[in-house]
Amino acid sequence: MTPALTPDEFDALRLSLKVSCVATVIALPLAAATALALARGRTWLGGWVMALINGLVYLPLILPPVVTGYVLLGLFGRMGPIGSALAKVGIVFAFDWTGAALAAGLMAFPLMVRAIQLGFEAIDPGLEQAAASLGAPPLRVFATITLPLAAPGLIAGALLGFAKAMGEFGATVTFVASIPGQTRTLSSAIYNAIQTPGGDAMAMRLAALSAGISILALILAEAASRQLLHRRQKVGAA
Amino acid sequence: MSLDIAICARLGGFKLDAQLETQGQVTALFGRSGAGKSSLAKAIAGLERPLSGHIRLDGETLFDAKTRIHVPPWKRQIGYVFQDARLFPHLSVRQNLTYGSGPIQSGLDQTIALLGLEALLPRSPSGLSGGEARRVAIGRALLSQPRLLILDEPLSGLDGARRSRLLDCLEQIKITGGPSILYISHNLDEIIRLADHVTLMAGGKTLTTRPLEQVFEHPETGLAAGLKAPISILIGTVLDHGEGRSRLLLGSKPDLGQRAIFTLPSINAKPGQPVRFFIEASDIAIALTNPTDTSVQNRLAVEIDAIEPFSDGTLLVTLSGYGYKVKAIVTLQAVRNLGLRTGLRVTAMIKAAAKVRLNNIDS
Repeated sequence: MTPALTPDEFDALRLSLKVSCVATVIALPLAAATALALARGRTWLGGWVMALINGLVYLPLILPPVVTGYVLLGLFGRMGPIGSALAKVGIVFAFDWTGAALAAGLMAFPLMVRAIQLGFEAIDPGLEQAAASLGAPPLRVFATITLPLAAPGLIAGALLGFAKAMGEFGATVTFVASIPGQTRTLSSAIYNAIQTPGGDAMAMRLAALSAGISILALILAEAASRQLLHRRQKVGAA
Repeated sequence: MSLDIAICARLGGFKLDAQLETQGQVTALFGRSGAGKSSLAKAIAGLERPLSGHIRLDGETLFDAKTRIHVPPWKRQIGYVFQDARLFPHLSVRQNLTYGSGPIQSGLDQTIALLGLEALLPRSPSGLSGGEARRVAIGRALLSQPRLLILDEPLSGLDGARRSRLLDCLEQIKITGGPSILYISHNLDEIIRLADHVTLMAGGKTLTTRPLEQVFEHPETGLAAGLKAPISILIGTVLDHGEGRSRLLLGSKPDLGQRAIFTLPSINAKPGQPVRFFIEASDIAIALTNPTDTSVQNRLAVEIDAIEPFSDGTLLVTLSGYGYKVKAIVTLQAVRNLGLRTGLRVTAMIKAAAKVRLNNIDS
């Protein structure tokens, strides 16, 4: 049943997976730190600092993707203030797969933060108090209590982020265009195929592939959180 | 343990104003729910930061608003057993127990045996009953080697058998020289059985801190802290057992010549062992003679020490004898009819022996 992929299609698939994986892996710790600050920061950060962080985090979600891509182009493009500075140390985003990863990571960021924040907020702070009363300093409490209990939220955040990164189109195509083999991800390839006369079959194949990967990611994440729950219930066996 | 506290704190909308100095192995915080017992305990453990004042434990300053000292909870060595146990759901019972014990895990086996946790070790906290979870939480706190152990209503919500089993465990911890204990409760039985010193609390304020035998001497403070009726706390020594009854001699080193004997429903204590017990003021009746034609077995010759108004139509009569004072509630009418007055020698008849509660003092 598996329809054979043409080399171009295979390139798009490989690029999309690379871009999404890199975007997710780099964005995850940042999203986790931001989620922690939003979930717990109220005691050390002022109310307006929290509001500012909150607003910035959700900006990519409410802005049109084209605008986000345009802002990225302005900041990280070859002429942009950040892009030109980074180019001197050999880091280039413009019209490269790294730029696609940046755009995908940025677009996925709010979704990841939201899911992880819910995970942190679901933890009973009383458990952390109990750990402290047993003599555990804050870092140990975080590593042994907070983080393990937040794991379902982290998994959900990573999955959502990965799925969003796989599907990202608007900001990516605005920022890094759609160069075959370099920045043409699955979504860009699907769009291109639709625009090309006689490309319907290709668009259909790529769309099915894209949907399959998303469903697979969902199943994997579900299995992972089930495994976690299962281990939690029979935890004593170890 | 010596504890020296004078703090004001505001927790949410709740205002706490606490002053107490205590020493001794077990100090109890006694008061109704909402009296501020848990809030005070959280301030002692460092989980809440007071606005002003100081907290000192064994001479070490844990909190001082003036010098801005606030020792964080993980450095205080104060174990806290919360009402809701707060076991870590992702760790097994064994991992919970050893969480605060460090690599050496000294006393693990003894603690497991003391609290009867052997069968629970491999299980997950989610499958434990309320009593089991409470025992694991107590073991976990004990194994963190605290210098002070705070027990927040450790028996609440447990049924009779589990309750008395856990109470036995706590008594064992006390007898075997465990850490000092701050015991939070609104239950008189537990306080009488375990506490050496008691702090009475009401409405976010500490009322008084005294040794257990003296803390209920002033009926008003006891009633403010939640007692239903004034009580008298006495010490007796077990004389003998028989026919479902036990006999006590009043006093910890009783003079046999005085023959002040109490007959109680059978208690679990060896002859010669001193025990604490209390009598509610409404369970004592007064007779001018020593009637022998009555079912009341406990009749003591006493003298009226004081008569003071108590509530509408009743008076609180203080009776003294055998070196003890007990309080009785008598109606105004009875006082008039019998001609009760200070200095009069009467017989105190103590009914309802079943309401007498016991506390085995260290043997």
